[in-house]
Amino acid sequence: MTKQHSMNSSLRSGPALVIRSAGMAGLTALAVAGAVTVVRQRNRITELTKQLGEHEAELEHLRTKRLPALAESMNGGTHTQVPGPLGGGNEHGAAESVESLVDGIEEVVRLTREHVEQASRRTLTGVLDTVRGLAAEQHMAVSEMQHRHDDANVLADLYTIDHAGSQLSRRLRGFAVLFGAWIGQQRSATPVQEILRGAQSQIRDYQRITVSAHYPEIAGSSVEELGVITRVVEPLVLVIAELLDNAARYSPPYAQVAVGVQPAHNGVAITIDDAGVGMPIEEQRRAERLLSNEHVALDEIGDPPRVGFAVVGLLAARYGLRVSVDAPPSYGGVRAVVFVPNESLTHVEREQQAEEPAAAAGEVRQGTTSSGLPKRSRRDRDTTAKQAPAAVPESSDSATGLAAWQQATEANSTTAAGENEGEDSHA
Amino acid sequence: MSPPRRRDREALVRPYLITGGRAHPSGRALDLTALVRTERDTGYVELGPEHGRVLRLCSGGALSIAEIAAHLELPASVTRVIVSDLVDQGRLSTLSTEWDRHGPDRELLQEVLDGLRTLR
Repeated sequence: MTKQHSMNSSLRSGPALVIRSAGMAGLTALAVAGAVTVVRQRNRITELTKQLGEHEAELEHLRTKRLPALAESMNGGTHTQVPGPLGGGNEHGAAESVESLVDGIEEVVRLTREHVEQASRRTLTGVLDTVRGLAAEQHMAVSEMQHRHDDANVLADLYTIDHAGSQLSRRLRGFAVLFGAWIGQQRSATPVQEILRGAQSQIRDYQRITVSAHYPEIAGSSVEELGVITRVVEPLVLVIAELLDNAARYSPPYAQVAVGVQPAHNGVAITIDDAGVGMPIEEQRRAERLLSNEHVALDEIGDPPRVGFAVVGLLAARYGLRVSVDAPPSYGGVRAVVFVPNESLTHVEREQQAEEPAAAAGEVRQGTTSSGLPKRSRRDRDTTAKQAPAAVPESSDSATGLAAWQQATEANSTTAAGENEGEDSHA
Repeated sequence: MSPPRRRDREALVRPYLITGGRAHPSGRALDLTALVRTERDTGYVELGPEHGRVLRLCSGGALSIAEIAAHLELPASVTRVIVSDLVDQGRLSTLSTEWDRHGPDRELLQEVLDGLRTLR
């Protein structure tokens, strides 16, 4: 019984021992594991503290260095270098997360700027259209007045207004180009010579410009017949006008600016030479940059606005012209060359009536009236018009008309010129 | 008579450019009805294309300043400056008419008036 008891007790104490030793082992394991965890956690804390430090340093770097530099580079248009992150080569570190933040900021700023730019262009174009409408109206009125008034003093005054109006019109078209708006009126195919003189009309110092009377023969077209297609007329006028204005502005007030036309491979080259002091190298770089631009942001225009080269560059890109401006060291001034490709050239029918004698030589002797006035026929007229010089208009109309005419000539009035102007136009 | 056609757009080459900014004729003032005829047309006119056009226009017979102005679509006062330049250079000559000696007579005015009317 006792043995059995002791056996039993020993039997009972066996599992206890096992449990105890197992408990010991467990505790030991726990202790080891705990120690490992503590070490690991300490390491983690160290690591996190380091990362936090890196983040803080990166953010501080972002706040004090990178964002100001970014703002400056995006607003000033200057060539400010935006510094990179502090980094440290850690792939998933602070540098990368901050970098994506910077990218995000840049994207937001870019989108905002685009939106503001578009809205500004729309507003400016609207404002410009109003002004252009009024300016065109005024210019047209001045043109009409020059036809209406036959008085040299009045004409001299109208010249002044007309000249100012032409310059205003050029400036407004330049701004329209910069704002991405319509350049202006469409003209029919026009002789190159007229384009050059039209451009000359639009600058302040037009009297200093000499347009060469000699033209190359291109594709069988001579002198007045070499023309430019409809689409390119107005852009080319503006390009030449801006280059002429620049040439006249940056050369001595007594010096001439010479404009010539030369045949070139697959087109013609229009040259503009001034006798200025050349161009500083940084100005030349600026010109080159603006001339090759296909887009000009509104904040690049500057204050006060210097739009000449920017306008020329945009138009050249849009209408397939090639423009270069350089100051060869061997040469006194600056030479601008505008290349017009064959695709933009055309043959312009010369204005028959203006070019041909109005009366054939024989007709003067044959057909003089009783007072010795020559009779002349006008080839493009219909038969009634041809007979008209000899025909007498209805008498009732004639008497009053004659009285008015006599009165008018005595008063040295301009009625006749006013009534007859605008005739025979070839538009 | 058809009404005179109005210019539907502005001329590219402005009047002040054509006369080099001069509004006053260089020589004696010529009337609108003054007749001029080309004396010599050397082909090349250093003054400008419009001067050359006037010479060609008047090479076949005498024309009045009003007629020239209508042909060139230029204001009469501008045409007068061009013609005056050419008269000064001896390239154009003015025809002396009865008008110069005795003032305008009715018959002459009638003819000029008729002539001008047919321009329409």
